[in-house]
Amino acid sequence: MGRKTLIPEEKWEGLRHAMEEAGRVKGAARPTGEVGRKAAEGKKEGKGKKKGEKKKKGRKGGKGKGKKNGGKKGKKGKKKGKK
Amino acid sequence: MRKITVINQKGGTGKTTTAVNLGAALAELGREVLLVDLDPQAGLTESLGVDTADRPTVGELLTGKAEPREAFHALGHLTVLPASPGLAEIEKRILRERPSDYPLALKEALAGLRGFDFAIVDCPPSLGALSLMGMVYSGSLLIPLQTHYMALNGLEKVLGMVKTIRDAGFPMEILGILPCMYDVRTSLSRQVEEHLRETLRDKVFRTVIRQSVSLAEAPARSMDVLSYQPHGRGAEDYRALAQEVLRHG
Repeated sequence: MGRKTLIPEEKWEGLRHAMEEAGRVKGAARPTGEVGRKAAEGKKEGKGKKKGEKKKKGRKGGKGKGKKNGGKKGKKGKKKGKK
Repeated sequence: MRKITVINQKGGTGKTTTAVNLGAALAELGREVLLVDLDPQAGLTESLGVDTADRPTVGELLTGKAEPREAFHALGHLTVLPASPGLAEIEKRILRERPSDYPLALKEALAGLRGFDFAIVDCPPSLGALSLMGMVYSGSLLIPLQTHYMALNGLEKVLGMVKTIRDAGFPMEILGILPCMYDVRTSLSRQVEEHLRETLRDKVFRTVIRQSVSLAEAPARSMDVLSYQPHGRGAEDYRALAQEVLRHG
């Protein structure tokens, strides 16, 4: 049984964003817990991933950047191939 | 001297209570503390029973009509720079007379001040000119937050203001967000506190100010809560906050 959430998650996401904008949040403010899980799940669904925890850990460790780079490399590779 | 501005756009979040009692808790630890009342409602001034009838107040300081020491009112280790209702008019006048650099007014008025370990500024419940002066003076904000839904809107606005001020080139840090009026019996209080910590992490003070009748009663006796009920919940919480502020450096 999940407990009743009294404050919409968008509110917390807005606050997190406002704090990031306002300055530094030590420890890179990626939300954790329920808010963070849902945010992560949303992104995973978009990318067709199934399990959140693994990906979350990976992204924290910088896998996201690696992926981006990988993607770019791939594109570059293709371009090179075409040329 | 460590400067802290207590601010929140929303009224009734515990700004004045926090300014007075954090100041009193630091004074109890032997620190020399200046409390600056920047609110035309003069809640801080009244809650400590400071009589401003024949003395200059912060308004006269801001307009250069008095020196800081003339307006100070000493209460042991605590010194109060009081406000009066006339501050609202003075705010308008300062805006008219120096529209481009009014945020610097308090900083200039208190420049070179010595003899204090802490200066704590209590702002009005708005993000107007006086609050801006308070923010620019200290560059360090303590944001009391009622553990209720509506209080979160006020917090978001303060954070927006911080960004604006930083973008204008003034240094600004958020010392911490202080959950206030916390009622452990309500799931709303518990959820707000829990999510605040999850979302804003180390920007939330570990100390929580619990709901306490003594915090509401103390001003009626012109006392801080540490003098009014030294072993009560309110005194305990503000002592914990003072320790946390000292650890923060």
